[in-house]
Amino acid sequence: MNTAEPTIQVIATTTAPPPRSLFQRYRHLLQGRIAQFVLALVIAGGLSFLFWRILPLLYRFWDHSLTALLGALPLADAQLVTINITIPAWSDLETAAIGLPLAPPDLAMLSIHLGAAACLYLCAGKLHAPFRSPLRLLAVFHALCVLGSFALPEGGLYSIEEHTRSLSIFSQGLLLFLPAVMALTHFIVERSNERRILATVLIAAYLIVTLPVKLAAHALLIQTASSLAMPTLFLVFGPAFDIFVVTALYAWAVTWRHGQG
Amino acid sequence: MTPLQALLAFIALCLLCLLLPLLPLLRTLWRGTPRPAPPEQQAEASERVEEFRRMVHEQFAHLLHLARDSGPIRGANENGRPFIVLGISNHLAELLPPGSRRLRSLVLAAGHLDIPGELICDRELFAEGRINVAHNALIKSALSQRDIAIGRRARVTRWVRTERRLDVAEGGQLKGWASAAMEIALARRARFEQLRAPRIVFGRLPEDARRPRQPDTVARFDPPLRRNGQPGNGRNLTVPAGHTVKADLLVSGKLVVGDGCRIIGDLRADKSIVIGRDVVIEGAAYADGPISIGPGCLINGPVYSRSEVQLGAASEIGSSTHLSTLVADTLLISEGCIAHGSVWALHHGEVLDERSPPA
Repeated sequence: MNTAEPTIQVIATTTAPPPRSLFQRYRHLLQGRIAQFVLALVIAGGLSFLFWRILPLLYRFWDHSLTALLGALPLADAQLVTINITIPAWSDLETAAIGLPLAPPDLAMLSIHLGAAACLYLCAGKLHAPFRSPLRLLAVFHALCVLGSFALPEGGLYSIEEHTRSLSIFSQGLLLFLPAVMALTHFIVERSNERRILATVLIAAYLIVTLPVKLAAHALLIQTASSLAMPTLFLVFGPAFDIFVVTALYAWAVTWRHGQG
Repeated sequence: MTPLQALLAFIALCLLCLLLPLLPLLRTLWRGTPRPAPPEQQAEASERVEEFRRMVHEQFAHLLHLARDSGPIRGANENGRPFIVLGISNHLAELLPPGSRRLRSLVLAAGHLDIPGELICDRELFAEGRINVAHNALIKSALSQRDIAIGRRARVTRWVRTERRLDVAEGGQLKGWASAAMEIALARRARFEQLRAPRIVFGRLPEDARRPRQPDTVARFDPPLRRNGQPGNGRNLTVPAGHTVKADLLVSGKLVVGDGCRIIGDLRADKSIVIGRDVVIEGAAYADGPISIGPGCLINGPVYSRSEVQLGAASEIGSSTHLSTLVADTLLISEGCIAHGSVWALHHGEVLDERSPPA
């Protein structure tokens, strides 16, 4: 065993000044990164401004794309309508929507929907834990909405114009807020300004290109499955799906810098 | 285009839009074997040290000789990687631009090498003299032919090797492999992963470090045997305090060794081992669960746990003539402990601060 003399001695000599206070340390950090911080803000603000400025061009693109899609698809009596956005700041803008006269659902369609909900509920029991409960909840939600819609005298909670307009407005809002969201999440991880811009533009391009396809697909499905399917469609393939897509593309973009190693 | 063809094309377009964000997921799912570890991780740490030492002798011996007379030399090798060679009386801080926080050069010193506080060194360090790493600095690797001192809250991220003694001040961190030819001394709240030295001291040694003398005659304890001739000593076993056991103790549950016992044999428990104060074990201790060793214990053989080992104050693992091994997922070592040989914390290793015990 050793003697009683203490063995540990702090021998490291310091050639630098003594440790600075927490405030001084953070001020030093900010001084080194203030330019990067400002540049990231400029990129996010510039992209938001750019998307806002090209919004009229995007409306024309969506109008032409929807006109072409509605002309090619077997959508009887479907027509492109432009509706004023009800948000006060955007009240002058007219977003594209699809007008489609639908017959009120009959009892046979109600039975089909309820049967589909029951099948979904039963099939969900065969699945494993992560998928079982969400699918069962979806089946219950669909059954309740079908019964509610059928009980209403107009045959639905809302019209297909409102349905497609809501989808369109949410996608546009997501598009305009995308640079801010990326600045708060992706720009922290990614230090390359080119990759920051490229990731934001790629996700925005995906939202822009797929919006007319999404609206036409919703109209086609609603025409096939009657207005009883509208609430479930909005829940599954509406804003939640847009957020899922943006998250997936963000996760892909955030691995760019690590994938090179 | 017929309506049917248009419909099919539209369905294909919708599927494409649906699957496009999931393409990176498919790339991840289809990735076969995992990526091979980088060469730096594949090689043993000792091999990396020897490779670095060989590189220094082959490529920088002449420059070190020149720097002794002519002062510091800066340059870059054939791959464009910069290096700094310091003479005996040169200081690294004088060569760094003011306010510099990061050093991307390989640094070699013919004499002592002082790393300024809060500096981040991305490359290896070599010194023929002593290496002092000041507070809050972060270095990748260090090799010295003399002592190495790691300052308060300074960190080593890969490996460190000294031909004499390694001192780690309070709050210092040794990630990776640390080896000393003579001794490693860690102050309280120091963290470590892999240590190898003939003598490893954790924290301050107590004022009176002499081990209490064992009583001359102690009662002998014969452990019960399992029924049906099966090996082992049952599910749980408790050795009363002050007894001597001349046998291997093998239990399927929890093994408790009382204060002042002497075990001549190995300990093996499927769950946990609790060892009291001033216990002498002339053998190994192995448990799938945690091992708690009381203060003042002496264990001659290796100690291995798949979970956690808590080592009480003034305990000793191995001896100067018989090096041992202490391996656990988590190692919590009190001040005043000594280990001889290797100490490996697979997940977390720390010298406990006895002044402020956890609540």
